[in-house]
Amino acid sequence: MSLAEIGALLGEFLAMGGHGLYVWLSYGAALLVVVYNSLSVRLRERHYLRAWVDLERRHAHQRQTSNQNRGV
Amino acid sequence: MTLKELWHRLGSPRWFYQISGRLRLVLGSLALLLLAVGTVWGLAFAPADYQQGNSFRIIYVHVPSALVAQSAYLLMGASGVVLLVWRMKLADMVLAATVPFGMSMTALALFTGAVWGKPTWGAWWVWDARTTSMLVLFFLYVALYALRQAIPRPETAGRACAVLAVIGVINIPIIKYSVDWWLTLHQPATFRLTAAPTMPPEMWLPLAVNALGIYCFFGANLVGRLRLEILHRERGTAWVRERLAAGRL
Repeated sequence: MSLAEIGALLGEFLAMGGHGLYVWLSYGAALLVVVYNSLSVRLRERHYLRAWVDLERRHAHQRQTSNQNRGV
Repeated sequence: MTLKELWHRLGSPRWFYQISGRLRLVLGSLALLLLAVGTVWGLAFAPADYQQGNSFRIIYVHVPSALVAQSAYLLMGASGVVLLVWRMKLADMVLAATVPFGMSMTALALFTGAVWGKPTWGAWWVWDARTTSMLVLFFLYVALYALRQAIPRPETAGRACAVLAVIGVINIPIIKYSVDWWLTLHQPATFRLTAAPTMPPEMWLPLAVNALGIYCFFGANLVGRLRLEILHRERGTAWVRERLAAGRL
């Protein structure tokens, strides 16, 4: 199969017999919704771990400075 | 483990957190596989409809999203009952965690319905019984989201949301039977428990695969959101601190 033939087949597939706009809009929206739901969990997980690491670092820093102030 | 023991254990968010990690992985992998297979099958291999042509392929995203949006609402209604009767913490978390998922799926069903309506009915939107009751479902999700934001005390917010979720369940049979009770433009159900599908298998099989896939995705996503909600609400406890200190969620 030549490159031109593959291109023609692909074009035909994308055109969806004149309904391409409607079909791809729907599938695009579906992809968007699935990605939104997955990402909103993933990003919040990452945020949560980072926030925890920051908090721990601050606590460690506070302990260190208060020890220094007491001359330990 | 007996059913009664399971019920009592569900009252412990910590127990749920410990068993749910693997469950989420299994459901997530299944969802990815099923949705990939169903989508490619529906887009490229299922035959075009003899009347609607290729716009018919929208069914493979429209029906699964509409189904799961309604099931998610039913789950919220059930959680509402469990919260009001048994005061189970996990039920409130399920209620809160399902709202964004259900809202986005209802929006997707409405959007794909509009996009399918244009080439098929000649209009993006019609005020018929099915579309209007789905719009009501969307507003119920929005109301549940807003209600939780509006009440500062978590316990009061949870109970108010539970009451609204339970009352709203009345809309689900209205959506389901709207195409039978009223004269609508919307076509009747593709799948019925009591009769064979009205489509040939090469058309409905990809639909079944995608529907199964979206339910697995719902499961995985719900478990993911629940785990975050548990971490957040139990953040003061020793077991959460230990987990986070070890750098894992």
